[in-house]
Amino acid sequence: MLLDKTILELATGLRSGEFTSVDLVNECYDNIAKYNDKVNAFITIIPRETALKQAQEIDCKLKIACLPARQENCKLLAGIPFVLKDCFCTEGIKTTSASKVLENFIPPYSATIYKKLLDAGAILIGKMNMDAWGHGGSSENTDFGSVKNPWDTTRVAGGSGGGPAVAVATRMCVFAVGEDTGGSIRNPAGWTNTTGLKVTYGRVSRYGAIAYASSFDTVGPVAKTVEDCAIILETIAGVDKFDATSSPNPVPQYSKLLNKNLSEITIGIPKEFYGDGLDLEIKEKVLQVAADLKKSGAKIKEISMPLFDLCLPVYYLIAPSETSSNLARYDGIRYGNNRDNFTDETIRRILIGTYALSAGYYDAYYKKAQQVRTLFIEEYQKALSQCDILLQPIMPNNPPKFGQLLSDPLQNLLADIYTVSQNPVGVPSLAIPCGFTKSGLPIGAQIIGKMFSEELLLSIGHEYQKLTDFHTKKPNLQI
Amino acid sequence: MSVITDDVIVKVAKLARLNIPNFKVSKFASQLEPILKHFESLSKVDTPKIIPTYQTTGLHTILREDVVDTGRMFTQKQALSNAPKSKDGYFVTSATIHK
Repeated sequence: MLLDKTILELATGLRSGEFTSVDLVNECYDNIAKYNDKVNAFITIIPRETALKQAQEIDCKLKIACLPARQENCKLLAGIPFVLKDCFCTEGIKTTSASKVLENFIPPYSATIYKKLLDAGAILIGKMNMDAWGHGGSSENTDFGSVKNPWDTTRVAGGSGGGPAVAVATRMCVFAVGEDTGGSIRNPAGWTNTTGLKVTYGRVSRYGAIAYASSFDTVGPVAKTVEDCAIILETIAGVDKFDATSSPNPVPQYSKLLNKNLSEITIGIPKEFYGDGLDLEIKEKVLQVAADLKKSGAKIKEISMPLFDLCLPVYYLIAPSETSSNLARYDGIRYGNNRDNFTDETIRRILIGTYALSAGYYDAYYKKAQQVRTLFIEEYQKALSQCDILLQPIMPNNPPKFGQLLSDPLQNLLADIYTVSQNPVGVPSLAIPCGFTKSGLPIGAQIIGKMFSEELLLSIGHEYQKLTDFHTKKPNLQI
Repeated sequence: MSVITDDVIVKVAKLARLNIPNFKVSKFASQLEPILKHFESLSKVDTPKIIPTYQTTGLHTILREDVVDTGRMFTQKQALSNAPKSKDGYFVTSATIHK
């Protein structure tokens, strides 16, 4: 299948005339017809004729340009079909954040990352299902029906970005752009055998991204390979005058910096992340990542991050507080439906946040959480002074059956333990497939680095994907 | 720390402009209680001199020139394009002042 190829392979094939962008787009829509009903990944499918027309235009341009793929880095995405988590405003195209509040909202403007991808010639195929407002870790908290895991359709796909990850896993697109506030790219990547990158806070513009927690939200790529993520990141990253929190740090050409001598690397294993509560099969496969990298010369060092248990209260006080403020705009007057349309999970988060910010409780909850956040920043700095990257699991368990997480709000919260410490601190984390359970469910691991260390994470992840082939496996939906 | 009673839920819902039906108030109270109790672990950390972190960019006061950029302005039509009710170029809302 053409859509099994990497972005670089596709870009090369498009330029050599081996196949066309029209071929790629047709394969996407054929797969959507075959599989979307089984997994419910899409909220909005762009009409096939619209995508094909764009593909035809790109095919003409590529015939004229005829440049070797490597010479036009940002245009490696020309003619490549992609999807967006439905939290990104796309002018003229319905954008819902998977909520009834915005079920008919047509944005009059576009997110910066969407404009950048269009400028690069990429072709939008659809807007993807997710936990509404980013509120969830299973893509069940959606008003458009749950997303199903293609590896076992009785189980959740992960969240909040289940739709984008499933679309990549089932070859309904080549890549996706998602958003990660407390694991929303990494969690579904781990549970669907895809590769996803939570970037450093500020690395990619959030302009036009429907906000969950504004000081945690990050925008990042989801794809089949680390190399693909590198190509997408160098296209979407960079300072944006419309996002005052976007970083002025220059954007490296990540896809040209992927070769790494692993003997120069020390991998830190924070022992608290491997304690009780972590499924033993997952623990084994994640630690095997370090063992595999060690065979190529990397050093391993056990370290301690004693604040570990406090990451959940820090995250689950600050994020709901910020979301209670961000969701105050949805009054159903200027756009959207009224506040009676929020789901129970969203209402819970707004209530927690409003309570934590209210008079008499602000100091004990919100301010206290922000103080412990400072301690977490120091803890990550200390950990990353002892090693180059940290290796952590993504989820403590395998994807549960439907209904298990949503029925127990406290358990739902505790399940995020490994992915909620990175966002308050701002550090980047790359999620990579690292194996399967005996029953055939995917397992992912995450590697974390200092602020703006995406180049290092991507190069180590790329080397790992040269040593292993987990990321090449596809779910058995007869794909 | 405090107990999450039905009254607390009603008060917080009013602050958040949420209409929670009576039959759901107790349910939310019983769900939020163990969650907020879980957060009590934060009180065990000593933080008297720790400065809170509100954002991690290290940036301060990003400015732009005080000039109109028509490239990023909506027309009135665009601004009203998703309004459930509008009239003569205005958003229409329920009355807030009653005679």
